[in-house]
Amino acid sequence: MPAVPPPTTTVREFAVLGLSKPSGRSERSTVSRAGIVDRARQLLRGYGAILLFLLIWQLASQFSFVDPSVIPSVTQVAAAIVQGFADGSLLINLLVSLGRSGVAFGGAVALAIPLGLLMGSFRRFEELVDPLLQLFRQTSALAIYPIFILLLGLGETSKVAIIFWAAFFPVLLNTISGVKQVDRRLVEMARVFGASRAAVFRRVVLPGATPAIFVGLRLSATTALLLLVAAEMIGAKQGIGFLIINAQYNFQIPLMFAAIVILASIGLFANYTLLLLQSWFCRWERVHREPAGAGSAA
Amino acid sequence: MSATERARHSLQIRDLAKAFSINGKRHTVFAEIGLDIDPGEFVAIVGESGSGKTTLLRIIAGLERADAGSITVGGRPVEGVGSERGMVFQEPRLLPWLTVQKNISLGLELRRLPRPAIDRIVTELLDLVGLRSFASAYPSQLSGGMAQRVGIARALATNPEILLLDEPLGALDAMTRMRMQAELERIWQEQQVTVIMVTHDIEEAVYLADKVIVMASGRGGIGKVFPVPLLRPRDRSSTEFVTVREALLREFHLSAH
Repeated sequence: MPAVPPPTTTVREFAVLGLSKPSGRSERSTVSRAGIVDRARQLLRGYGAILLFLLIWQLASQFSFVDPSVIPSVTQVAAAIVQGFADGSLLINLLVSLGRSGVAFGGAVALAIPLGLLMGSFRRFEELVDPLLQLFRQTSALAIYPIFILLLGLGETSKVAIIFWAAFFPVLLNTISGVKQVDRRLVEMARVFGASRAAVFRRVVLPGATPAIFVGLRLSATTALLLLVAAEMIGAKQGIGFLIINAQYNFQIPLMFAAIVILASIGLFANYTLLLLQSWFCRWERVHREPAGAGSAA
Repeated sequence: MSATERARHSLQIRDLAKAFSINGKRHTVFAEIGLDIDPGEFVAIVGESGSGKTTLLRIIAGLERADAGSITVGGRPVEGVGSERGMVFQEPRLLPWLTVQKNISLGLELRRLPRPAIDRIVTELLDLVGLRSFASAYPSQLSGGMAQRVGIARALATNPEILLLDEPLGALDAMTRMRMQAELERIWQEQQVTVIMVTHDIEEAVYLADKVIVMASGRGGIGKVFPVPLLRPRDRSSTEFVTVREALLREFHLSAH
């Protein structure tokens, strides 16, 4: 089986989401001075590096340590974002991009998860198809984009197709490995308690593979955005990727930066959403790794 | 859950044989095992690694097939897994994504019992194993002993006639293990269930079992059956206890006397 990243979500990522403490209720209800200081310290730890980066960027541009016509200040970029949304130019491009990547990502997920579950469950089938998957996976999606353009033209279809292609494999491969990593002893246990094949799949295999599937989903979301920009930089008339290239041609540098910031935000938002979903689907992974109560031994 | 809902039957094993083939070579695990276990009896099977004691238990559970021979419960032959036999594994094998109570109710849900009945049985079992306050904890929050008690409760949930224990306390530390042995004895007495326990702890076998069966490796099956006619609860330091233990140790050539 190929080297697929292990199904992990770092503690830090959950911490950023504010999910690290399942007992967060008591923490939030105590609005004391110390609590506020604690909260501020927590925020600083979480976002301090970003704030510092923005500050340096702002000062460097404002005081011309870098050429402000090439790297506009944070405030100029922010103004460009506000204006872009106000006159609708950013919004329409954003929607077009979200549509393309959403359809492609959704389609890839809808196909890759069932196929991965099937392939993970039937070893013969998986062995048969795996070499081909490895070949496809190792071939850069960008390299074969020209083939997609030749086959499907420069329009929407080839753009959606290439994003679909790139988003498909991380989900598929992680789903397969997730199914294969399910503890056989748990499967045997379920059989002893009267589970049919279908019940074993639903109650043991599927929940056991879910964390790995989410790793695939998050990898896929990242890849989908990467390919989105690439596809939109070639022969597109709309979209965030088009906007970046077009703004550069027209030397609307603040607008270009605005588009880049929007793109980064989409990525962050997608990852955040998937993490939220994962933490809901895999609630059991978040519990404290220590005895739940005190006193009772054995 | 009343222990009398299901009639208790005796278990009979006749001429049971099992061989594995490894790299084309056949290895006999055991041949011609015969065994009678009365309803409500506590039987311990001891033996060295490779003596086939776990294989025997897995065949009784229906997880493996014998090459020859028969197993009957109350005269009816045993085929595959069945709800009249519950199993506890050496590792607790709890589903990590289910809470304690959902883990216990697994067998009941798979058998599509109505929800109120499931809830009632689970509550009773939580009390039986002393884990009521841990009902909604996840397995990762439990100690080894607690997890194994959940495993025992899960096996008892379907009200089996026969409880099969595959070295259930083998992974626990010595103190927890002794406490769990007493727990196991109490649960067995309350549930009036037949227990077949595989162990390699001879003292554990003498402490718990009505009779101890010694699986002799290389001799094709059961070597000797040692009845343990001691009153319960047993005193590990009493002369009678030590005498039985010595006799068993001698069987394994492990006694200094």
